[in-house]
Amino acid sequence: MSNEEADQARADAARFKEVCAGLKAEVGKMLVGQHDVVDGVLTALLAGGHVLLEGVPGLGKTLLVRSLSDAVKLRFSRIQFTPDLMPADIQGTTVLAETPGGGHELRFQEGPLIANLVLADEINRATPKTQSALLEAMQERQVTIGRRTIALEEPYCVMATQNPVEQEGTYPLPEAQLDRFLLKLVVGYPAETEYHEILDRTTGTAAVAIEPVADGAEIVRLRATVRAVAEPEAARAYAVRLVLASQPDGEHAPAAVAENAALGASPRGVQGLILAAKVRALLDDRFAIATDDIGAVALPVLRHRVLLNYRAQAANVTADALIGELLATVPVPRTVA
Amino acid sequence: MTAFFPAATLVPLVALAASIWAFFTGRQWWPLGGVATIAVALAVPLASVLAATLIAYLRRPPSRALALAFYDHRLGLRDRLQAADELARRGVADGFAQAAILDAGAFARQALGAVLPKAAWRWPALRAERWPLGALALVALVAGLLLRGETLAYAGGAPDVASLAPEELETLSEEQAAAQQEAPPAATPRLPPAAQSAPRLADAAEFAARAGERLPPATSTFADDAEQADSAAVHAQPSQAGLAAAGAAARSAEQTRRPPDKRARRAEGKRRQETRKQPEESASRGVAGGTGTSAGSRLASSDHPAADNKARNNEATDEVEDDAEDEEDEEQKAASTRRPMLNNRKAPVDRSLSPSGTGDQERDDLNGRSGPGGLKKTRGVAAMLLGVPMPDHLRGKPNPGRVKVRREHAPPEEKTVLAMDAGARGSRDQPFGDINHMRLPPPARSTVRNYFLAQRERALLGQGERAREDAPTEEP
Repeated sequence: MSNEEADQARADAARFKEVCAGLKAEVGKMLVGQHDVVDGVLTALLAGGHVLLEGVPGLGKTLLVRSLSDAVKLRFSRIQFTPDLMPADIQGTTVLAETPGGGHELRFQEGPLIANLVLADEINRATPKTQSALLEAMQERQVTIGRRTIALEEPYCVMATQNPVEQEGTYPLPEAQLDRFLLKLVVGYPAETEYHEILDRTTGTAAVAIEPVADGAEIVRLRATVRAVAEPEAARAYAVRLVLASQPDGEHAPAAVAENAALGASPRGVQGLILAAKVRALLDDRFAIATDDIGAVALPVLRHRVLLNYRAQAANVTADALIGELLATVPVPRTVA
Repeated sequence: MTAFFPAATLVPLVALAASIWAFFTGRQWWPLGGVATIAVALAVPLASVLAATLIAYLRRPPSRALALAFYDHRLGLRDRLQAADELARRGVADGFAQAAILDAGAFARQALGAVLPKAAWRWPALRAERWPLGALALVALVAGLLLRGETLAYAGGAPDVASLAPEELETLSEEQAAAQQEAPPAATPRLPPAAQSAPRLADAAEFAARAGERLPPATSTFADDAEQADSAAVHAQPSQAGLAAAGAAARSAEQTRRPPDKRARRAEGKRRQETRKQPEESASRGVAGGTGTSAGSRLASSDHPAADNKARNNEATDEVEDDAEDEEDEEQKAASTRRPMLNNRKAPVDRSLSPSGTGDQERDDLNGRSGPGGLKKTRGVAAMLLGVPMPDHLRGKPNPGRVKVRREHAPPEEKTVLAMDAGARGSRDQPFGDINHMRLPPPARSTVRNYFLAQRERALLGQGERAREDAPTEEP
């Protein structure tokens, strides 16, 4: 056993934690509170996934993503989703442009989707057609327009915000796109003490400047560090059992899931559980994930992958409640043969 | 099997000791018989083997992974020991795996030096959702105890007469009679007449039991006691040995609703009818039982059909008279108590709610109800209408009918309209008001203005020329 590799791993883990702490500190200059949401956004960014932020307007979702984009030197673009937004508006299109010689040519104009960090603001206000235009970019990191395929530059991360679906003028996201988000974070109202801090920062004359902590290459290295974290068999088995139990037609599904769920988590759910657990293990100074990490990230990873049926909607059963039932019923594999 | 043979010797040794003790002292204290002793002697060692196996299973040493998981859980190590052990066994040379193994070393030393507290035994958690089951069990237990006490009290207060011997019945009857005499009248509960005859039923049952008849159990209900007394009397009357029983039954039936002679006669008539329906059976019953004079007489007169028919007619006449009297009494009694007043009965009303009718008078019964004072019936849409009679005050008024269209022939008349001369309209004497102009750009606006000015100038020039032409020329 060579200590060099272990030392390198320790150094990578230390750098990971240092960058994470710096990013949290920079984002914390702008955003008050919401520590869980900030941790979740950083987890998605460093795990190589996308994040969906849900909350009513005015809770700082867009501010969080903008602050994070300022903290990392990445190519940032923002798309404000509206009902009349078309796929070509975000992917790009071919336009007729004038050449210096006086002629004309067809030139491809890139859309805002081609960037490193994309803020899809109020994504559920666009039609499903436009929402689905993100599918290829989110999963395969490329955009195909006509006969042209453009590979997106790494790191690539889509951070989408959405209002609760019950609000007027919103379109629910397609299941295929929901599944492509690594985490779904629910942004809640701040606490009473945080309101005073928000007023101090926003209604005064003090200007806050965010300093960049990392760049794209650093983020890519951190992503590689995350994937190098060891996976014991017990944690992996626990993640698999949780995903299997979330599928209503499966034999491992508890009664609550079988009765109330219409669709369970896919293999992407297992991948998300492991990747998010690895980030959590690194932040906890560990080099291998544990079953506790799986349980801790199960809610944001699985809540948008478990779709409820009509019976659950009529009975006001939420996906969070079902996942809580999963965590309560699925046994933790303490012993592995 | 270490526990089998020591346990197998236990019961035989004890049984042997008991036999020796009994041999010397003559006192047998071993409660089991031979077969049971053998069974217990086999069961005890088997049970001991099972118990030893269970204890050994529960006390087995934990596996390595379980022990590490226990330390992880107790010391809050977040699966560090388990993960390191697994990665070390897997033999992966990954940097993070090595770091995890090396990282777990410090925690392993901490775990080895830690003194784990003894796992305290905890009471099983009383889950709130299981409390209703406990309450249900408690209620069922209390109900069962109450029912059991009620059953015991009922069984103790009313012994089964049918299961008692005649001597016991006699004793019981005397005790009941003495109790009735000693009991104060005020303490007697007020029961219906049929219920009041229940104690006397015991007397009748006692005497009937002496006559060798089968008696109904004393635990029957009060409503059936009168009929049971009657049947006991009927069964006891024809027997030679039960004459006294018949008298007692008759006395006991005096307190019932009907006179005893009528009831006895009626019961006898029923018995005769049954006897006529099954002559052979009744004959065999009469011979075998040796009871019933009528049965014996019919057997005796069976050789003379005419006389038999006459006797039957006489008996039938008597029965008809008796039945007629009985039915008359019952009708009077029933008419005074149960039957409704026939005078108030009306014909079934029409449930139609239509107020229209041929008569001029209002009908109060057209209210959708089934009778006077009855509840309103639901009849679909009609039930949703008001049940109040609504007289048609406009009855007889002719319907104006449809609007009649009358066509008239009107020949067209020729009318000529002369066009008015524009000049005859006169000049404008009032302003037009606001006129909306088209919003034109300034060049177009000037062009339009120049055009109309030119038109106006041209018109003025034309008027001047026409005036000059129209003007009379002066003749030179």
